Amino acid sequence: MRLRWNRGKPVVLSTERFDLRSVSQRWIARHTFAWSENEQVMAGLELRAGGWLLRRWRRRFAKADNRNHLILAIFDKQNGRLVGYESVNISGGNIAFIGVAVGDTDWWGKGLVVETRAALLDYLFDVRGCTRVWGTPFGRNFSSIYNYQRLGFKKEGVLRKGGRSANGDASDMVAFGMLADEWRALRAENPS
Amino acid sequence: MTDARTLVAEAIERPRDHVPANGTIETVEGWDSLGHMRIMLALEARLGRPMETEEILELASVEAIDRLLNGGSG
Repeated sequence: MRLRWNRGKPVVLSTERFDLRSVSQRWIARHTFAWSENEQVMAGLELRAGGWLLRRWRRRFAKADNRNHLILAIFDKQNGRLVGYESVNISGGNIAFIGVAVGDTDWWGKGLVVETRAALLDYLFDVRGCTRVWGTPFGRNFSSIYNYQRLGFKKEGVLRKGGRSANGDASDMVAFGMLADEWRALRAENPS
Repeated sequence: MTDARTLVAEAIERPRDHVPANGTIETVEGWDSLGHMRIMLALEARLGRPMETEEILELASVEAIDRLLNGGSG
């Protein structure tokens, strides 16, 4: 698989089971478009399944530039298959907002997000010099909440009816944040 | 009275002895993201209502689940 990139340096991260590589908005949209038909996957994203046009699907992703906007495709090292992606938007020079999707449901419940996000946090704090990383999962996205809690993110608040769920209802979202010093302390306790 | 250890064990498909009373999402093997979802859904079924977001955020340990189910009886 060939990944072309023009702006910024490509980002390549590796964990025990996965490779993460920066890709473009167009690339990730094209390679994840089939996920838009999967009710399980889309439910996790609080999006309706089915009926998407590729151009509308593509607009869900930020235009990645490998500087302030990153899309990191997650590949299974065993077979090279795309299994998910992490998205990162860096604002103010050092505050990163993150999101994730795992489209290969065979990987659900197997620690993929904890493993890949730990590598992403290392990169954001140690390489990019971020001071803060945060995310806002939906309040009923139990798996996503687990992943933030499992990695040691602090709950910073509930955004009451802060988002709109797939069925159109207003839903709570939760702000989870991690500071650089907190992550380094956690890493010192548990290097793996 | 509902037993938090049993609820967690059944949700993650492990024997009750696998889930200590002081177990947490960090220490109980099998309490992964999918297991967590099953635990939350089992709790809501047991409670007979959807949980508030603030409640959901507290439920990262067997003790917290026990408090929710049994009003802190331990």
